[in-house]
Amino acid sequence: MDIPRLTSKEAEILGLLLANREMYGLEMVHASESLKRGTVYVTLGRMAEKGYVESRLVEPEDQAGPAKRLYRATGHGTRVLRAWQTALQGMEAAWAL
Amino acid sequence: MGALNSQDSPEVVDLLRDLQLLSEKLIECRVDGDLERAGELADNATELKRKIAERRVVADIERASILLSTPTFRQRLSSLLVSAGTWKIERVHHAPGFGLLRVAEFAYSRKTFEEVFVPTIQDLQEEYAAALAADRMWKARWVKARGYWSFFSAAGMQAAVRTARKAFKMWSSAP
Repeated sequence: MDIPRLTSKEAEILGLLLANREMYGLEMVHASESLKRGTVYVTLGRMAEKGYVESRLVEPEDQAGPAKRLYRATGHGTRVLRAWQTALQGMEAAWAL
Repeated sequence: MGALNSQDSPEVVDLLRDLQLLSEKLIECRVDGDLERAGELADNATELKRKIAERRVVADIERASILLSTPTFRQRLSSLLVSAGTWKIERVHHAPGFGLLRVAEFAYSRKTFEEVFVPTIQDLQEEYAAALAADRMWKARWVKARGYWSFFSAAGMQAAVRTARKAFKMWSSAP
C-alpha cells in the first residue's frame, strides 16, 4: 500500500482547512505556529498543483483593495489527509509494540 | 509678567504700575516684620498678575482677529495653506512592497506571481494599513520589515522548488 506523501506543513494546512472550511493565507498563519508568512503561499501553490486545495478570488466586502484568494480543501486533499493520519497512527502503534 | 510690553493697552499699563507699588509695599512690610500684612499684599499681587495675563490674552486675540479681517493677510495666509497642501498632494507614496511586486512580475511566471507574490504583498499591505490606522508607527515599521523578509523567503523557497522540479525532470528523463 502506498503511504500518502504529505509534509507536516501540508498536513497542518489541510487540518486547518477541514476545521474552518475556507480560509485566507494570513488567517492560516495567525491560526498556526509553524506556518510562516513567507512560505505559506508557496506551500499552498504546490498543494494546488497536487490537487489537495483549490482557491477562488473574493472581492473585499468594503470594495477597498484587490481581490483576495480564499482556499479550501478538495475531496482528494481530505482523503489524502485521512489516509496520512491513519498511516501515521498505524506507524505509531507499530512503534509502540 | 511685571515687565512692560510695547503692545500693552493703557489698562494693562495701569495694572503694571499698581503691581510695582504693591511689590514695593510688600518689601517694606517684610523688612518691618509685618508678616500678616505682607501675606495680604502677596495675595493682592497674585490677583493683579492674573488680571494682567488675562488682559494680555484678550488683547492678543483682538489683534489676531483684526489681522485676519484684513483681505491682504487672509489672501496671503490662504495661498500659503494651498501651496503647503499642494506639496503634500504632489508627493505620491506607494504602498509598501509595490516595487518588489514589479520585480516579481518580471522575474516569475504569471501563475507564481498571482498565487505566491501578490498575496504575500497583499498581507503585508493589509497589516501595515491596520497598524497605521491604529496609530502604531513602530508596529507599522516592524510589519514592513517582516513583510519584506516574507517576500524574500517566498522568492527563495520558490526558486528552490523550481530547481528541485527541474532536477527531478532531468533525472526522470535520463536514459
